[in-house]
Amino acid sequence: MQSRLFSIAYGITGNREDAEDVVQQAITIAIQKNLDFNSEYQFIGWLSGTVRNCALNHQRKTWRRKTQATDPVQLVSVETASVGESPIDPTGEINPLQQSFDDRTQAALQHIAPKARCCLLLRIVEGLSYREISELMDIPEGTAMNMVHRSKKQLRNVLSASTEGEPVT
Amino acid sequence: MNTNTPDEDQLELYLDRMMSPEDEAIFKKSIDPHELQHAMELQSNIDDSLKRLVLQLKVDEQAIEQQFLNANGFGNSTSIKGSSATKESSLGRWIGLAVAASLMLGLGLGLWFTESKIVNPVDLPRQVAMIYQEKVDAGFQPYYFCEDPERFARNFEDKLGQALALSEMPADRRMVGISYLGGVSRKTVAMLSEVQNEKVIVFVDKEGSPGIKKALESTSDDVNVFVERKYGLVFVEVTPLDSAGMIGHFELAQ
Repeated sequence: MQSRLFSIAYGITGNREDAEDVVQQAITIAIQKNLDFNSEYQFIGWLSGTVRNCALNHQRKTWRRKTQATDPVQLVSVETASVGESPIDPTGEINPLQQSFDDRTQAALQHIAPKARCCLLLRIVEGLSYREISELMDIPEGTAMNMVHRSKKQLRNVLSASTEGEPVT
Repeated sequence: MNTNTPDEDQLELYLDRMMSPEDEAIFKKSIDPHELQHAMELQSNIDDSLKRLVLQLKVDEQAIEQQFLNANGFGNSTSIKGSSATKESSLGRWIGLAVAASLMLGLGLGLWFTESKIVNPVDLPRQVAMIYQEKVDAGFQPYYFCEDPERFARNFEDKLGQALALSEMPADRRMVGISYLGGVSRKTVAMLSEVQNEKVIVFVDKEGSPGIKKALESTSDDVNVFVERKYGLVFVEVTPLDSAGMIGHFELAQ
């Protein structure tokens, strides 16, 4: 359950801390709304939708903050905050503290569009079928599958190039 | 728009395990085995990395529990035992909230009602026959539909430390999906199934779980409860039929 919510939240925000905040916010809304649910299935669908909406709202706010920052220094700092854990520092050097495969995966994820990232995580982490992903994301099944396949290929291309000659564990 | 070549599309379908065995055989003949091996290994590493990334994310469970209690007038108390007219009047809303909070906190459906009494969230062991009836009345919808055997195995491994699979079954029975209904303990995994068109639930928990005695107290004449212990686990099948139809199909995943 939690991993499904986090997959959606991380997919849209692309940032760990933001994803945690978004899921927490959605659960708070669920508790405050005091709604009735006839089944777990109905509840999970509702909560997943709430996480998606919270994440989209969060993303819009982040985008607004970015577009309002006119000072170039401030702009850089806001953009860095929204991107999250990119291992590449502003000078273009690889940060030696974040050279693990996981870090590179996380950095590569930043280059995938939010909707495709959601579909990818729901498929890989949560193991959802394309029918389930299509219902959750409100997109056709074929589109969900196409997004997952393209994202996987993109990650392999990026990570294959960045790990040439070194073991990946 | 799909910009892949036909070969790339085939590779993605193969890696996604969406090819028929016949198409798989044809595809394998058409691709360099080293290239395929490299793609499979890299994709497997990426998949593991993505799982680690998401699974390390956490919510503040204590804060959620406190919000839940506050929202329903229980202040700082961690015990919500007892009943009053006010509490009973909001039973419908409580049920929704109970599902919400308990699912989030991994408590199964421990926060629930029994004959107008509110159950303490730590009083988790519950009669499986009663849970069965509630689930049937609520529409018998699983949490997971679980079409993927790997995902099925992982559910049990994550909760109970043993990856489980189902052996081939006759045409008159099928697994519907997985739910977390509590019962024996907060770790209980429940498998919803159909046997001879009857609704059947198998509760699986660790052998020796202290909640097992309570879980097996039967209050229903409508269902039978069958128990089998294997692989360090206890399997409890609740069924309207006269014999267990699903327990025997559980085996350790390869």
